[in-house]
Amino acid sequence: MRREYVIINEQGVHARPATHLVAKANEFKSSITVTHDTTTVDMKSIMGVLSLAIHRGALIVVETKGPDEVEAMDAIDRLIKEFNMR
Amino acid sequence: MALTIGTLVDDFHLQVISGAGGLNTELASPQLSRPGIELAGLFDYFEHDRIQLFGSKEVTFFGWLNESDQEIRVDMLFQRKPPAFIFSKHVDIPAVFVHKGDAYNIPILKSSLRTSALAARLYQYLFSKLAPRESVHGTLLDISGVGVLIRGASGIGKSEVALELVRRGHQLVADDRVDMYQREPGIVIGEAPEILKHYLEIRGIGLVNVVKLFGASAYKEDKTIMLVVDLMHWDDKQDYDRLGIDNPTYRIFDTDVAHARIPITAARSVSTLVEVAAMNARLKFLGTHMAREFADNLAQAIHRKGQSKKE
Repeated sequence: MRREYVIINEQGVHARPATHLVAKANEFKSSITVTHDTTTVDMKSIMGVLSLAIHRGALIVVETKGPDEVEAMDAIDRLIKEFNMR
Repeated sequence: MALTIGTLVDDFHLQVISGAGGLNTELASPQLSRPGIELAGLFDYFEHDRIQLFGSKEVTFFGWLNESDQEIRVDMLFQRKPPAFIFSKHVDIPAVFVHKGDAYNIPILKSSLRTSALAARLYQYLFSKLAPRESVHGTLLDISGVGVLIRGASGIGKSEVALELVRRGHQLVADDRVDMYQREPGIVIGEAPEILKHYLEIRGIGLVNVVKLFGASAYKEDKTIMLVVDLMHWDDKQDYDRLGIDNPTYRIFDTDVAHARIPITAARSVSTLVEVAAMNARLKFLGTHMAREFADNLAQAIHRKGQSKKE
């Protein structure tokens, strides 16, 4: 599955929310990636996600692939939307 | 732990002037009393379970009293049966104290230290001997000056970690059982029970005396516990600290001690992890928080990128 988001949280995806995203991604078997600009990283890798330095206004693409890709997408979708609301 | 006046006399090289019959009295309170106000006649707050410490101030004031007041107030001091009277270096002990000491079997003692130095040393000594103690299953090491208490289930490898770290030049304090007491809020001291001092127990080898094996520098008598490390088997369901931005703590008595939970697997060198955890704690004590520096750098990078996209 593939979904696109625009990050509207003032601080961008800083260290703490990145940790939450990675912890959530690690709950699933599917491969999960996040792409920003032209760089794609594994969402289960904390250093990878942090290296993107995702700022306010950034477009990111989340892709899930595997046996629980739908559940994974739903869970991450909830987390990103919740984060954007803050 | 029971502490008698006799032990105190030996440890502080005190001179027993009279009242030697009371040397087996056990001390109950780690506090001291300077009974100046009692000599002045106020006994409502008399801390009679404490050692009574007399310096020049108390004795000079006592000299100002007339003889009948002296007699009455000294009797009131002795009737409540304090454990001992200690006089500091430059004090002439009034004769009435010497007589009463023998009459009541309460030791009258003379120190070679000045009052303030004597009080400070007595406080520290009494607290270390009489403060509440707790024993914990774990291993205590001094890793480059950081006191690290390693805990974890039996057989997880605490002693093996200790052996490896001692080989790398760090010091063993206690293996398997650590006795702890709080010297003051913020300072918890750990040490080995007397019989276990110097020893490590390594499965398959047995008891190892680290002083004989590695020399005197491999061992330390006691150490302030500055970091608690919990070793645990890796559990996929557990969420381990990834960045180390938070400063979790673990409470011992009234003291919050830095706390790290380290999951172990076959691929992870536990000794190195514990050593790095100790160095990280040391850096934090020195004011450098590596994870927070990283988070700050990241926040700035995100901010810069956001700004340049707007333009």
